[in-house]
Amino acid sequence: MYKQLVTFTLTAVSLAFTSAAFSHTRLETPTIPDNTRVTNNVIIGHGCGTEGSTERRPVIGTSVVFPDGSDSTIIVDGQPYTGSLGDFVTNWGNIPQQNYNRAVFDLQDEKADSLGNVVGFWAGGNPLPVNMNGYVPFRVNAVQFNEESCVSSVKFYISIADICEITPTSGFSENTVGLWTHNSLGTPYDRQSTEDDGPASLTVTRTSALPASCGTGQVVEVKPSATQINRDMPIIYNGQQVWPQ
Amino acid sequence: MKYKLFDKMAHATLLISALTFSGLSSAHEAGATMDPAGTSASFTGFAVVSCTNEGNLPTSYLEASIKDNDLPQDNLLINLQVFHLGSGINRAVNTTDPISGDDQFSPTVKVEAGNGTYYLIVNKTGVGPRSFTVTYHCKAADGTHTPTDIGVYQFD
Repeated sequence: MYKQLVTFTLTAVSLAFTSAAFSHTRLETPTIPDNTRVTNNVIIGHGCGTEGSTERRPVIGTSVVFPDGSDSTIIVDGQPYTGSLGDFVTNWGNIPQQNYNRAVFDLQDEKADSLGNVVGFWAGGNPLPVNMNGYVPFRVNAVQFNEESCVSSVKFYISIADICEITPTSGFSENTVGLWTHNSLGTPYDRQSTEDDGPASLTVTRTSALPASCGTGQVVEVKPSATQINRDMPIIYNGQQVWPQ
Repeated sequence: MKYKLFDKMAHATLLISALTFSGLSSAHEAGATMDPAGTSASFTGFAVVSCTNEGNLPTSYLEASIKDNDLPQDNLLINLQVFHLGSGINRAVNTTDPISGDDQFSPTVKVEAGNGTYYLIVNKTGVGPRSFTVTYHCKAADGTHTPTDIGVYQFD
């Protein structure tokens, strides 16, 4: 019986490896309405390794960072915006809250800024089988819009590192970490890609009516700063940085 | 392998968790010490509270109060202001803990502005450290507690 199981597992794994391109790490619910709390999950779809390779390494931890809004890059209708996120969102701060769960990883904790606002979270401790999805649960607190603004939606880009081996940043490669991050911030955590298609996203859509003068409204995007990624992407455990190292 | 580091941390996690739980206050209370160095009369805390529906039941108002946990000191009291801006409801209200260190909260105040974003400010009347606790609750018109989330924008 055991041998049959092993054979079946190997077959399944092999099939998984030879199937379509590996999925990116994304949120289970990438679009939510404003003014509503939503339970969500980061979905880890595969382990580390060169795309097309038949060898994958299991993810042993993940690090997730939301833009803090204070020094983030804001884009409105595709153009850089020099005002503040507060022009569109009235309550950004302490929005993600990690849900305790040991179904995938044993250890976990939230990441907070100097004022205690949660800006991300991490989980780790068990190798996630390479042929299975890993769900890392969290809650998105209600995001509230400035109803006098013309904002119709806000997309927050969420940077994620799926760790397969603990290394210093100099050891980052496709075999040691999956970087679902921006490709041009200039940090050691940047995804090596010609397209900026790394980060997961959370889009909050407006449910209240736009002011009559707004037309179809403004589409806002929020990206983290390099300073924030360098500060918040590392995993700090019990006062000590455990990744990267 | 290096990922074993994560495994070694499991026992320490349990200990840390136990210590943390013993220090938690009840939900929707927050506390800290203003002006810990005792040099700033203008020390201010600024927070945002988000109120939303509980099921189909909308929030009607945010109520809040503050408690000074330190012993009384002449000319040193702590205050809490609650306010709301926008949606045609621009309202602010103040409450002060009149007796420090008596384990009693200030009079409860409320701002009625429905679902949305409210703001809290805590401050004090002079120089000196003050340990305080703020309690804040979003509520429906019938008093039912509605979802209440807080973020901190300033504490200095």
